[in-house]
Amino acid sequence: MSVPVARRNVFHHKGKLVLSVLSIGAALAMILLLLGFREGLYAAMTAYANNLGVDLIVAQSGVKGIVSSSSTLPIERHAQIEELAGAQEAGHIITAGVIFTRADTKMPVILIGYEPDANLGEPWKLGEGRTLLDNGEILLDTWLAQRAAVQVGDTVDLLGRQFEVVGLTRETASWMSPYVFISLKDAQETLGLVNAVSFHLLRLRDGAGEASARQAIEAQVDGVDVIRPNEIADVDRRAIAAVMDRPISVLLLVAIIIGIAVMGLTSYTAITDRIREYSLLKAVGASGFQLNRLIVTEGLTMGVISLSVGIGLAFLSASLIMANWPQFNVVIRAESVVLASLLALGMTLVSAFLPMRRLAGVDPIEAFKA
Amino acid sequence: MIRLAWLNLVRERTRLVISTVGIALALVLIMVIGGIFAGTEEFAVAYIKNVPAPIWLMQAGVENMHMASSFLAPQTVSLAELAPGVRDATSVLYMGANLEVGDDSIIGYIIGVEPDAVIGGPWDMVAGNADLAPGEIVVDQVLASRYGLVLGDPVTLFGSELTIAGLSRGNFGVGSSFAFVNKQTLAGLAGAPPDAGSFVLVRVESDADIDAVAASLREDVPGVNVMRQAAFADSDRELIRQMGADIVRAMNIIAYIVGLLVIALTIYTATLERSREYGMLKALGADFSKLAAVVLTQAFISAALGAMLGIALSYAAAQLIGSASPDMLVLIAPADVVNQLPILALVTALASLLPLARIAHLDPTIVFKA
Amino acid sequence: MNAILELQSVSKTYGAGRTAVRAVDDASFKIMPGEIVLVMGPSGSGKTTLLSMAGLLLKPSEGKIAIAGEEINGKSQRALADLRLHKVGFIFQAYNLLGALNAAENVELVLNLAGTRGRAASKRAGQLLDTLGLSRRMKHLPADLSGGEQQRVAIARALANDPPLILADEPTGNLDTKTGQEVMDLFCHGLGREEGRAMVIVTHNPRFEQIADRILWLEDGHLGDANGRTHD
Repeated sequence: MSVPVARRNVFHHKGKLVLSVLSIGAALAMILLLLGFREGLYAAMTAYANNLGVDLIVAQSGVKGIVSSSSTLPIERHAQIEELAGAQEAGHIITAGVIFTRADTKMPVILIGYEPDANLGEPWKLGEGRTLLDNGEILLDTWLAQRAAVQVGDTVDLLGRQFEVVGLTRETASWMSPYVFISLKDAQETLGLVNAVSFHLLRLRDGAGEASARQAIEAQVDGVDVIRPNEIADVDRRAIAAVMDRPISVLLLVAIIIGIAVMGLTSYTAITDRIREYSLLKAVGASGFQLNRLIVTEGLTMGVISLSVGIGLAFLSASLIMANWPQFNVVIRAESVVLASLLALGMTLVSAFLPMRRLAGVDPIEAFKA
Repeated sequence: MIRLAWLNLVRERTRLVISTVGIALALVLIMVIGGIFAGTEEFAVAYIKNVPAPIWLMQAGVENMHMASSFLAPQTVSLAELAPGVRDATSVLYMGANLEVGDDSIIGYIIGVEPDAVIGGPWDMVAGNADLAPGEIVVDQVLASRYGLVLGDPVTLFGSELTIAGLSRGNFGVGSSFAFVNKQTLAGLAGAPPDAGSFVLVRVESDADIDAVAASLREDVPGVNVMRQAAFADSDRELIRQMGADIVRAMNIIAYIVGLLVIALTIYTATLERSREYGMLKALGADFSKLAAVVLTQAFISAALGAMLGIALSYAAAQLIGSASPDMLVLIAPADVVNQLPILALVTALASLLPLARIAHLDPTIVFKA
Repeated sequence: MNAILELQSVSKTYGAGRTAVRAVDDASFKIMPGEIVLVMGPSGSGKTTLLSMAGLLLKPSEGKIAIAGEEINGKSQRALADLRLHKVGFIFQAYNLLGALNAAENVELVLNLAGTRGRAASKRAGQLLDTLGLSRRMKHLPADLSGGEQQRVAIARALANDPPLILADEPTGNLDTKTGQEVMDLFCHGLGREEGRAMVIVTHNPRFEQIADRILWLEDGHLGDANGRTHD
């Protein structure tokens, strides 16, 4: 049609349009944010493994994750492992889940004990202060510090011992378990793990084969597994997912139901509000096809606008959330956007269906009712 | 005016359904997410609550079981038993570890209990036995059914195979999955000393004053934190609560925004449609406050209906989720419901602002237009 | 010469059984090209029902209807819509313009529906509105037009596809006397009566009698005085 009736109808009542689009957009944004929260949580919890920058990790046999389990290896085998691997650099870390308490704050944290003079296992981004140089020092995540009202220079308690906060790290925050760093020695003493470590970290020489290093170590050293950092991240991610997926899925389901209901009903009213005008068109001779096309076009126009608004809102909210509340990591993936788009457009089509059926049955006489 | 508001509402049935359902669903999301966390809290402290030990000993500086580690010197048990009023003291080993079942890695907490221990093992068995011979493990029945396991099947812990000798009940919740193994076996698998322990569970003589016993233990046993059972449980609850507080608040805000937009849209549209009537009332002499009363009454009736439906749906959802997924306990306390009502009222008032603005600017001569 | 509109023993019954209401009973008449015929009668007499059937908006319970020689019984919805588009022009009491479209677009719309698009459509719409004295109001929305102006837009819309038959339901019902007279003058001279366009007008307004060729009187569903008075 030359006259863009659909577009005119959609944009005629600006106030109504804005509210409808915002309602649908907000529902969509809600779904995208939930999906983003989930992805973000997994990313945050596997951040350490993903930023290690080492080639291989040696763990206790059967232990494949950092976050999801505890691993202990005696330290004596270190030289042997390093040689077998042909490592250029090697380090040790201890990892444990502990609780950080200060005044009213009580947070589970992932404690990493690393060797301050080695180049491996340290935090990858510093916000304030400096990295560890000595025992008795601690690095806290910036958000955790903020929450617990701790500054560089303060003293904190951990597992009954005192540590001086010498630096605050970035990209280590998570509402579930932020990271905290102390020296390996301190970790051993605090956790009662004398002469043991959790993981050996290996950075291979250029040209040293990863596969051969793996084979060599596993063949000659008992009770260990050799894994890559991304494998650890995977295991951790899946383990957390096994725990978190159910409750998150429940929430997602509720959110999707809300989203569908809001989208469907909003689109439906927008269209049924114009039943009278559609009846008029029918009265002046518009065919069923022309009418249906108009309804669908109106629906899709609103759908596309709402979708754009929803996606925009989601990304905007995500940025705002992460900027102001760093314990939340929100990662909105392309797949989520595609899913949301299909949902939105599907909903608008479905919600156009009922008015179309109603219109088919409506007597054009509606137009006569003054 | 109230009658007018009520009539306006019920005449437009579809619109009434939309606003009621929209608000109801927003409330469901809020109630369910709060309920999931409340339920998670309860599951998390199930072990602490159900083990019949009024006093718990743990590593100094440790106040939590969940997501924490605790290591006690072996002599802690004997020292504890010497304290006046102590009936017996049982040492259990506790660590976070992954149970491997096929390709799946299940995050869980493993409790190492001595076979002849009087307390500390599973308190409700549904199949098999809890003898905890070396090489045996007791897992929760829900975990077993979820992963297709039966008595006699193997699971892998720290790289070693253990056989399922018993199925317990009440040990599988979101983020809190407990399994029980022989204490020595666990220590060996984890590379800890054979007499390692995490918690000492203390029972008192029937005529002893629990607080007095606790005080003696604090004096007599070095390097420990002594906690009453209830306080220990509360401490863990608080941990979960704090962990969830932020995310619950974030989701609540999002849900309320969606709810607000739904109310705003429906009331605004309703007001638009009734422009002639409001104009007529204005022309007849009704001042702004009277018209505002109509709009606000409509908004609040919608909100009230939505709230009632939402509360009913929330409880229904909680039931549904619990039966579909026994590891998810959705606890909705009446207080939680009541707490939301003022917020809902505020949201409703805000949603009415746009319609109220429209009425304020309404030109009474609209009645003369066709 | 063939009748533009012919009704044969047309009846309409609403409801069934004991609550059945016979809104129109056994009505028969013919409208010839160039005729202006009024349908008058007390409120509730079935005038709107009669006009609805004539305009193919309502299916009769009994009887036959033919428009421009084509019998409509048994025709599909699509065919009926097509007939309405090309053979009938509607003018309502409440104007019924689409609020989101301006005056020109309201007229162009029915041209688009009939297959005329783009410049051809806007040109014709412009011409019609110009003839009706609305050349300066073409871009205005209905909400910004007076009652009389809206009715004239509605008339332009009704004429857009050059239908041989115009049906009008109380066209001056919402207008003041002066404007109503102007609209009536249009019916008399501006709507193509001279070219053979027929008009059936349902009205309470006795002034229309001045321009009518015939008056059909409808009372309790019964059409009386089919031959009525004629005016030259």
